[in-house]
Amino acid sequence: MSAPTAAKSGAESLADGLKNIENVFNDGNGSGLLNSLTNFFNSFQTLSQDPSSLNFREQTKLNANELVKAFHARSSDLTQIKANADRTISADLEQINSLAKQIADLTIEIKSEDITNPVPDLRDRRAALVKQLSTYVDINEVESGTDYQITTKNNRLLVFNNTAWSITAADVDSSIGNGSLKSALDIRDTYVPKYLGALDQLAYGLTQHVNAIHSAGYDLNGNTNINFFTPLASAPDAARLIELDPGVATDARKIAASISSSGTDNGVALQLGNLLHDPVFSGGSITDQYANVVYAIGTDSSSAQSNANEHDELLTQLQNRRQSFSGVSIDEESMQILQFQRAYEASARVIQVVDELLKTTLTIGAA
Amino acid sequence: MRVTEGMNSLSLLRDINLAQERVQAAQNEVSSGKKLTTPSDDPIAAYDVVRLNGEKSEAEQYARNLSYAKSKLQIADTALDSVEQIVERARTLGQLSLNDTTSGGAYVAELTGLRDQIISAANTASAGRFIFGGSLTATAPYIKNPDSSVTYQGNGQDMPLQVNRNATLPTQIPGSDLFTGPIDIFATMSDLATAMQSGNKADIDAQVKKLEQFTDVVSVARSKIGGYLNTATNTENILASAKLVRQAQLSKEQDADLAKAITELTTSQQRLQAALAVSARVSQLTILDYLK
Repeated sequence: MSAPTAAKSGAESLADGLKNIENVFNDGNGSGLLNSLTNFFNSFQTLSQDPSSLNFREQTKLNANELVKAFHARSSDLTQIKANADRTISADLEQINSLAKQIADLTIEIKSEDITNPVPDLRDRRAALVKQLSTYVDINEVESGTDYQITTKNNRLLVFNNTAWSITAADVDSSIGNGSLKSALDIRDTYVPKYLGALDQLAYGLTQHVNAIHSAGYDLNGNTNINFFTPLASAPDAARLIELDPGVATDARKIAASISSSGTDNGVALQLGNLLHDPVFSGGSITDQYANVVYAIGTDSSSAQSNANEHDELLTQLQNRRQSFSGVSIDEESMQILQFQRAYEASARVIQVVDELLKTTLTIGAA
Repeated sequence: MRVTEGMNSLSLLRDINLAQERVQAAQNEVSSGKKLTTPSDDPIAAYDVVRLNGEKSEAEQYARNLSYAKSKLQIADTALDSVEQIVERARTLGQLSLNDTTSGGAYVAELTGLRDQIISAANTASAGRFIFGGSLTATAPYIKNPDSSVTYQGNGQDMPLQVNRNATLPTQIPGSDLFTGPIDIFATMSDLATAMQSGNKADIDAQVKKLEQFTDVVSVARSKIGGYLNTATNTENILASAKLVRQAQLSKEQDADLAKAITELTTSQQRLQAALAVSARVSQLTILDYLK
């Protein structure tokens, strides 16, 4: 029973964790990252109507700030999910170690009890603890002769007879076996890095492409070679680090909308606006790239959910079979009570008959 | 198979849970009107919806650009229409003074007034932005100097707007191609006034010819603007039909089929009721009820 229990508990906590990641990329109510991206690029289109307008420039800056905030918020959400997974791992380890200790303690009692007259209650209690343990991590339970041992799937000894060994974070790797511990590990080390990486890639590509076009343009004062975003050296952490260039952030006149040194034409604003659909990002346009991320997390999350459902079903079937063998049926027990009752009645009846016979015999003597 | 009470309660609980989940999903779909609320509901649809929504807001921006371009072009057209009439009047005055060279001086004052009207038409603004100054929209493109000559302060840049993917639309004709283009209308008007003042027939004739050439320049510009406006209307139509197609796709991907959703809601509710009713009856049922 421990393998399916571990598989079910693992699949469920993985599905929960992926749901949290999925929320970061949900654009369902039109308030997601996509909205910030399109608003950002569209504000350059609006700026191209009249690059001399300070209002339009402020609007562009505002939308750029919203986009930067949207990246920051998502980066910190994902980091938070990672931190939560890390806490789950520590909590699970504590639980596992405490359960191992309790199991070892019970094993002492089971060994010391009267062999000829075992108390089933102690074994039941140990089985319940083992079941609880296997929701955290899948285990191998071996009882041979007088020896009893529990190991993890990656062969770390948890319990041998009356001794429990603690496992630490250092013992936890991807071969640890199913269970909620493994799921938290997958969320922390596989899924969060995967989607944080995708988000960083998006932010990095954005700063690179926008800066390349923007720095070739001229601002309202006729200056050129101005970055729109603070340049980033590499993709990792880009979603957290993305910021407006300090110059642009303080003065919207520094937005380079123009291709000529007049600083008033709209050549660069047009190019920047068109970045929304230009297929220069990895996987096509920036919306394509974002759509790919949404698709990936949707697929991961939905397959984790159906996996959890499958394991739930499997476990229910197994529990049913166990119940079928070992469960108590009121009907059966009632019938047995009835049987004993009748046997008792029958015996009583026999005694009554014997008693009457005796009485009769005694009467014969008296007569 | 041996069936025990434990099994019964296990499977009943599971069935009730499943039925509850179904009811909740159906309820969500009916109340939100959406069948796609998270990407995992249907990853492929979620992918399409992101792309379609991206295209949608892109197209909405094109529509805003178009309406801005149209209003700017229409204002330019109106301004050029009045310029045509002013120039026509100046030409008439020129003709009159050609027929009677002595009368020229009488028309000079009106001619100067007409010239000022052209200056003001060339400084036409749309929403506070000058439309004939090239990309210099914040300052008046034509200023009248103290010696009453006129200088162009704008530049020669037109300001195309993106109105569809791979389609830009010019939104203005710079003054340097128009009022001070092949023919400098302000110089011509001044020269005409001088010629009329002096009554020099040859000079008047030359300037009137220039006025006619300028009328051609304006009418070419107006037909260009008409062409741009036409393109704008055509593009609007293209965007509108693309919008319809996109809306249909978006709706197909994410909107709930209400009839189906409500049916599903009723069915799942019935299922839940059945599951609850069965559990209420079955869990009471033991042999004990019959042993009295």
